[in-house]
Amino acid sequence: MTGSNLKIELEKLIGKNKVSSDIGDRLCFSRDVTPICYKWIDLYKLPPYICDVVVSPENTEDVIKIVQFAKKNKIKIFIYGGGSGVVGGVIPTEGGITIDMSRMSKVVILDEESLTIEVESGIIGQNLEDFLNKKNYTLRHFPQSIRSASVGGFIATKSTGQFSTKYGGIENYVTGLEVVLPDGNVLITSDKPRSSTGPDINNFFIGSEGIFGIITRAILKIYKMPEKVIYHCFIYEDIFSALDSIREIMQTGLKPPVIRLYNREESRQKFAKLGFDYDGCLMILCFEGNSELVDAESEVAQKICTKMKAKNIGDELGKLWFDNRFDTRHILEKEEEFGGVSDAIELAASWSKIKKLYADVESYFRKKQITLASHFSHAYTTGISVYNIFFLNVKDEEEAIKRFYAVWNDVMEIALNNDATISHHHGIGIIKKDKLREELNEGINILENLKEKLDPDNIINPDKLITKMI
Amino acid sequence: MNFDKKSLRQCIYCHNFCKFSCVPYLATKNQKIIQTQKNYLVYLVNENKVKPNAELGEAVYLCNDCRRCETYCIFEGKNVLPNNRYAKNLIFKNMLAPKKVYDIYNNLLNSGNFLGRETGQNEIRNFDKNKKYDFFIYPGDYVNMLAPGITKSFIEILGKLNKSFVLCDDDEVSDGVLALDLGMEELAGELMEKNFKKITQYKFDTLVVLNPHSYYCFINDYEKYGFKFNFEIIHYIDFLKRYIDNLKIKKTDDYVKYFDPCILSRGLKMNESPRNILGTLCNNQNFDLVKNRDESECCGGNLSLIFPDISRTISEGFLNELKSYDDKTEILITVCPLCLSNLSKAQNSDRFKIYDLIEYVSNNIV
Repeated sequence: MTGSNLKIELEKLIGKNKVSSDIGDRLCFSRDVTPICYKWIDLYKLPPYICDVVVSPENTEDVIKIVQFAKKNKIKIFIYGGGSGVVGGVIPTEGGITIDMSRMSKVVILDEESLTIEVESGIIGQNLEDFLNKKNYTLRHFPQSIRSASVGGFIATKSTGQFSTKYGGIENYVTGLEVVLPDGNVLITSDKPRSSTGPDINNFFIGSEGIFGIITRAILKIYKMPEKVIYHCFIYEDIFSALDSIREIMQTGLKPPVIRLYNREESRQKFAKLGFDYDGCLMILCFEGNSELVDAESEVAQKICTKMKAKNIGDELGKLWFDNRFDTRHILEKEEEFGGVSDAIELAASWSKIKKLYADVESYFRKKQITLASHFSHAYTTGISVYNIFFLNVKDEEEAIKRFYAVWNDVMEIALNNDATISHHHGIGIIKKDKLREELNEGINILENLKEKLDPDNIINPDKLITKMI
Repeated sequence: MNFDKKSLRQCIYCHNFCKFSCVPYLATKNQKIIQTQKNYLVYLVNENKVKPNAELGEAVYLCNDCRRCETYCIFEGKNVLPNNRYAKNLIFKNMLAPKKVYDIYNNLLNSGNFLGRETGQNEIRNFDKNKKYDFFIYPGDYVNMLAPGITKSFIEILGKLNKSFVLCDDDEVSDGVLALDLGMEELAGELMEKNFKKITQYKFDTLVVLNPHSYYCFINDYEKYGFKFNFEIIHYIDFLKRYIDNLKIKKTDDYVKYFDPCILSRGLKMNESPRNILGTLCNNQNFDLVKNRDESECCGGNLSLIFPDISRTISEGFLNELKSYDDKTEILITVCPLCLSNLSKAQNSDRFKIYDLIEYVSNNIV
């Protein structure tokens, strides 16, 4: 079916003002913030993948009609939440229909007794947070993409946030979902505090990157605004003793929402303009919640850090980090240069493996003479995530894309050799899927079988997450 | 209005940190309004990769220059307004803007104001070109056309202070800010020249501008277009700062919130003075809405002139949300004729009384 026929047929189904074949819309909805999307701007006249039509459903019934139509006509569907993904999850690799979820952005129910909120999945994270703040509540899920990402995108990519060490990733928030399945049926999962009724169905969709269905509503946990928030900053001589401090903090049972550790290079690079003037690794620690608990946790944490010979430098840099936490200018300026590319590779490993992983990654970039800035964040009792930001500058955009993929491939190899995960929170998309089989082993067959059963014609978000083409 | 390739590329490469703040986007869900997407398409047009069309034209004009995105811009927020004006100029020249934009153009060209109202309808005052006055009052066309009560209140206050003035209202020509904001660069220059000639005919110490959008234009744009004034130019907020202590004010127990107008908070960075003036009038001193100063919300702005339904959706949305979480506020104060007009029209109950600050001051003089 051609673009104009497709538009006419979809307009008949859901209404004229919900369908667009305008080239501007098609271009806007065919890109996210994956580095290769940027490189395509100057490399090609137009990007290699453009959807044929954009549809903007206003309710679940519209989504059902679109899915049933696509299934019947064997037209591919791609789902666009906020367009903030960094692994190409929205790229319409086979043309077809892109579903823009932005019109489904209503708050459905705020349950102040249970402390949950039901929302349509197209709501932008920050708009939800603002809504809650006005009523003295908070989600406390603060990914760096919060100002553009949708709740549906949070869930589909299994996102985490900057305050995750206390509140967990998005999987710790979701208590219920509404999903339009690839056959057009609607699944509504139960909203219970816990249930022993078989595997948690929500978890089939959290991190599914849209391949099992379209998330249309979600029920999420919320919190009361914290009574007290305090920051501590420490300087460590070496990164590994700082890591030992974090492990002890976590294994002692403390719950700092934020615990971030920057290596020497990133401490300087990121914080020099905020007044950082030390030769060492910066650790930022935050506690928040009930005032008495915060004071107690804070005291214990300070003792642990001091024991590890850390220098306490007060709270100022922590507060400045919070105020400047979206400032990624130094990364994006590199990307904007012709032939420039940078990206963040977010790995995670258990405590017994993290130091070797970090050393191997650092050694790789040093040998390749590629600039690297690393920090640790998102800590657990069992391990921690390490965020590796690399910067490349080569002769042109084509070479930049080649080198980008080569770096990703090599670092994922290093991760797998160290029994680390290749993605802590950005997801797989089209960038990492070739390595997913190596990490999941037999698990990938389960995902593929599930996809085949739910979506035998491979209609919804094809080419993402799993590699097997049905 | 030059094509600034570097700043456009920076915006295109950004991770959309301003998306959530774009009020016209939230009201319409038109993806092409968001700065990074709009600039992406404008960039492709300039690189001859796509042709501009009416859909892009509509999206470009759906941006009302509220500049909330500047607050969250990780690059140079100062490029937002020039890039908006460049995009509008590009669309305007290609005859791809919404029809109402060309209606406004014709009105400005033929009548000197955006409504196309015949001039000379107001009382004609015979001001003496040889006399030296204390002030030249420049209301600005938003005040004249949408909120003339602002001028009336200001004159009442001048009367209480025994100050002499020249008033530019009976045949005032638009200052040019609306033309600039709508991409009509050439016409803006012509309007500025007419204003320059008219104002400089009189002798006075200080030009007091009542419309903050006009004030912004006088202090930021006139000189760029070759019109340099050799006298002091102030907004009425600065006037009140100087003279509020000379007025006999009756303090009130009203619960008042201050709605920061975009042009004051983000354009002119005048955040504390209106609050300080309110502080001299009110016993209850917390004037901040949840989103305030450079994060303040939007009234719909100049969208009310081109897309009135969308503007109304925005202003109604703000008032309805405020009602949902604030059961105390009685009065909303603003310092902008557009905010006053848009919010007043959007009232569907008498839950809030809405005033411009100058009206509120005037009402509370003993």
